[in-house]
Amino acid sequence: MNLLKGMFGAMITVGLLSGCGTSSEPSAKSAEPAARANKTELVYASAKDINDMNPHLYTGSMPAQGIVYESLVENTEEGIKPLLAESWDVSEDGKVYTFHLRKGVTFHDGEPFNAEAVKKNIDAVQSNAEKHAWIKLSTKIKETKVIDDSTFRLVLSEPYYPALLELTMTRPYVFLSPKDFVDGETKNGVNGYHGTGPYVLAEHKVEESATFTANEKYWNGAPAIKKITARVLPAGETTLLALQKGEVDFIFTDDRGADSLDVEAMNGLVDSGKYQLVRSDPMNTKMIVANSGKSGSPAAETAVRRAVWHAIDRQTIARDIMGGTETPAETLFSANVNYAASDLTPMAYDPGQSKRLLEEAGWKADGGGQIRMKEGRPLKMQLYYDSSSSSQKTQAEFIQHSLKEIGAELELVGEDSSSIANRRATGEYDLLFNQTWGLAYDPQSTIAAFTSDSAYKHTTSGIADADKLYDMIDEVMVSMDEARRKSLYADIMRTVHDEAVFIPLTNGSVTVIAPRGLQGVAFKQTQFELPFERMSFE
Amino acid sequence: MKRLLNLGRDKLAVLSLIVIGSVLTAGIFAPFVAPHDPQQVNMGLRYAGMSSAYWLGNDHLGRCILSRLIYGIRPSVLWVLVALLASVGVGALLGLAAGYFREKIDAVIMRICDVFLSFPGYVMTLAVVGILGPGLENILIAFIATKWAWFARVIRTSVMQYAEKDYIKFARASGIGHVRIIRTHIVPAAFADIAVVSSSSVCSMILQISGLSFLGLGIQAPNPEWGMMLNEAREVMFSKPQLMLAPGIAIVAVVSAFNFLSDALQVALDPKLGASAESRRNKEGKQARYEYIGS
Amino acid sequence: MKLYTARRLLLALPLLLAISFLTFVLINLSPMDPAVVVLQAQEVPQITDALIAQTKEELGMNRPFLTRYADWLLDCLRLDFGKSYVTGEPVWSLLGPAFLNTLKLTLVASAAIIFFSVLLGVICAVTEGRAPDKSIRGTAFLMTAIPSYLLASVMIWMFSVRLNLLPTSGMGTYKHYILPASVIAVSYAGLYFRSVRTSMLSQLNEDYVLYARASGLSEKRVTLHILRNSLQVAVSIFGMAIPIVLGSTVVIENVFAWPGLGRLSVRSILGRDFRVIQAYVLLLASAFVVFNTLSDIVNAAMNPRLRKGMS
Repeated sequence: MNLLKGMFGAMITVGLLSGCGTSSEPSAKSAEPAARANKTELVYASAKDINDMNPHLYTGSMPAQGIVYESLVENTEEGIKPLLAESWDVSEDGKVYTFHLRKGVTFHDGEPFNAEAVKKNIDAVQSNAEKHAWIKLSTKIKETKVIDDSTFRLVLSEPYYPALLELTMTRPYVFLSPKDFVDGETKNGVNGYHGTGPYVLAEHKVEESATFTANEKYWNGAPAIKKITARVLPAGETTLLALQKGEVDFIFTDDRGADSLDVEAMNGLVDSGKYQLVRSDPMNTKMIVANSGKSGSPAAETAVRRAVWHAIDRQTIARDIMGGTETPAETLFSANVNYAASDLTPMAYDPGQSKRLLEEAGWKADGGGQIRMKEGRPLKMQLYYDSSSSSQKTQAEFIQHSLKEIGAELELVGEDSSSIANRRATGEYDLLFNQTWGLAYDPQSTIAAFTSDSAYKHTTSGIADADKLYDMIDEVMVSMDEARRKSLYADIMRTVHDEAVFIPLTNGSVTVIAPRGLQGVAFKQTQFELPFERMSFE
Repeated sequence: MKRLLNLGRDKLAVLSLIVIGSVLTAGIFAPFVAPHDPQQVNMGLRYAGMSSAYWLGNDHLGRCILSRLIYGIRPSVLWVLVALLASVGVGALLGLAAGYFREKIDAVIMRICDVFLSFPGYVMTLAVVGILGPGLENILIAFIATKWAWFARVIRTSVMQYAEKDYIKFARASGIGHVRIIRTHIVPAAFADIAVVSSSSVCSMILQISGLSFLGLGIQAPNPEWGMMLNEAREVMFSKPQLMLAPGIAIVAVVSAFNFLSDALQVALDPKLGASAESRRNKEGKQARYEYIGS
Repeated sequence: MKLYTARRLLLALPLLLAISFLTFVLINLSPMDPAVVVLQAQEVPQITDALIAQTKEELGMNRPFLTRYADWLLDCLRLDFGKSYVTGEPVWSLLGPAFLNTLKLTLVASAAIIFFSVLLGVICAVTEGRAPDKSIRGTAFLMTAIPSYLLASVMIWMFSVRLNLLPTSGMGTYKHYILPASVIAVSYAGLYFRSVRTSMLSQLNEDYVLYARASGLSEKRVTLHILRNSLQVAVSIFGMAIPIVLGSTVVIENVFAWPGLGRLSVRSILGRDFRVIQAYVLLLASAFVVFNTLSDIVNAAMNPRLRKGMS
């Protein structure tokens, strides 16, 4: 049998097919998302389902929760502003907060938003205290009181300066219609997802899509974009194709910091004339978190952590891997963050220094092997990355190679982001990718999380002065003296910097690809939400 | 065995054998063949095109694509073959036992086979990888666990055909030991069937490894592997499609070569399938041959 | 026939039991302590030995292996697979709808496989050794050698973006089925049409065909005759294809954002949600057995010779 001829023909066919696939110029025939007149809809792509929209738990998608639920106060560039509370008074001793609620606000199901509803919600959050321990406010709420229909009082056990800041967060202190509660609680699931926000969750097809429609009775005026659909698209290239076709016309950096598209693909979309690219100012710091509290792990040694820090070439990561869209980060908090310490010794890229540090700490590269050994143990660690983020994987491979040069072996493990959050909480890691929580949360909440079991407790617990660090953190949160706070924050930041438990990589920002005609594409003070209600088509 | 020589007349089969042979050789002698260290990162050469030093250019970390391709033969082809050999070994042993001794041994082994065959290809692989975690060893374990039963069944069928042949019956009657009969008569006869099944099993294994890489469950970095290389290229498939060519062609070429080989083997072993109009009825065994297919 | 059906169904039962046992053993092979997994999933910050012991007690893991298996099996029979470690939802509420979606895609894809296998198989057999036969077989070999996610991307680009004929991804109208089903069909029809071709070729040489030709029947009628006999092969392919496709849509589902079992399984594996993985494996293996049994029965009904071999 001679199939050569046939195979030849087939090769040409396949060649043609793949040949077609190589050109990426936009097609004239495909739908023009921006060209439709009076467009009032947006479809955004997300690698994951919106999941459980219960705002008092943590599995839901934050951008989605952000447009359905609202908090009492809002964090803006100019500071704390009213949202569901029109005004508030703080007592002299800093323990009693009295909120005067906005009148005439209703939940999506028609229930009135009043002091009673506020109390029920906050009580429901407090009854699940263990889950919320990472927010220090939850450990300080002593009493919730209904004064009258539109006045609500929060009594704290001690003064806590970031109280209002923590009330601005996307969750958990946001408000769900009391009708949705199950037995007066929300921790075991809820009956519905009715908030007070600009959008109403209209339909949720699990693992497919979620549709949000404009809340026409929104207290701040009905939004111009009438319908927002969140489409689940797990594969990056399908997302790109859907964008080219116009089936999806909006994407943004998701709440875990994962980008599904590479920089050039995004630029290609902009060049096609159908899309605009909007990038926020740096919002957070992307970093590698080292587990100082894991006994037996090389990551528990300060010298090893500092060696890792020195071995990473941040310039190259920012310029080549991130395509110049991000800037190298030398400290945990960048200079534009409140209280950011300015006197930290930079730890520049210097593999020679890394080797010296390891050598001094007893990690010897003898025995012919490439990996350094100490007391019979190899210098080997595991680095966990989010499997849905291709840039994290590339960075991980780059760092893996950099560490090999200094005689350390890195094993890379890609996992689901929820699984990585689990590891962070339980300490089952050496190193993992993470990011600070963004302008609204930095530094106070991120630093408060250093002491929280479910966040960075394992990361910080192994450093020499851990107890002192925790005392300082406890003090800074209750201190009402600005100067004292400043010096405490500086000390805290210096401690974690010198201990190298948070190894910064780049300063990250939120990127949005939106239809060209969309106006008002802006950002909030948090990487977790986007102000869809302020956007409109020209 | 003589029929295997028919292969020589099939140019395509010869070509396939040459492709497979040279790929295997390159893989075994990778350190001598590859021009560079496959794991050497050089960000200055990120996405560099072809050059005299780097014949196929460089990938997203500036690593030499050619060297990665050559080293990638090891997990992508060589280790797959090892897993295949292991499952053929297990399958052949049990299949021979079942086909030759029949009755109770046969019944027990075949029921166990039925259970394993009830887990469709990807499902068993996903289950094993899901439980033991991603990584080459676990994927290979999964392959052995899923494939052995197919081999056992196919081999049993062909053994049963031969065991009924008169010369075997005669040997048995004349008091020659079981082992000797199996070794001298049945093993060589069943070998051809094993070859057919194996060669196309390789295809599904190679494609499955690349599929697992796509799902993020494949071989862990930085070890080069074709499926992973193709996936890394896939992320920039619309801005730098040329990166997909090298691993893509490698996978398609090797898989096609095994496909053609399997087909040619079948023709060589069963001339009725060829162009000749000779009418011979040989229904048994053929049914089973197609069942293993399906990644 | 009734006897055969009864026997075949009876045979399936012990097989299902054995499958469930193997699945149970498989999950228990996990190097991770299930108690630790549960505690981690509940985000318990400090996992102490006392807590592990307590969880083990709660999960009933101190009881004998077989007792645990029996309890688990009884729960499974009531479709009670427990709650997901990650989301806390009942596993069946995740698995059920996903299974249905995958099944729909599988049925459409299997129909496409049949169509293309028979079409190509017949063309090849009729033009045996000539150009169409050779080029179809050559193309088929190459197409089956392309990883399916690549083929999928190229096809989306061609038919969806370039030609604007079909949606890129998702599930909704009948149009959403065309691309994923075609990609699956291309991979599998390329394998199965060979069986059709082989069977056609051997039919061509059967005595009754020679006789029919000799007695002057027109070539067209002879072909029709052969075709009818080859349909049997088609049915058996269909029976084989459904369970196999059901288990291997995982890659396609991830490319096309199809909300089915494949997506669920990958998510569960990456999230180490062993309960879902266990239920997924059990469900697919059972579906495999059920479809195989059904296809055997249908085959036997069509071909009495098979029945004899069985009894």
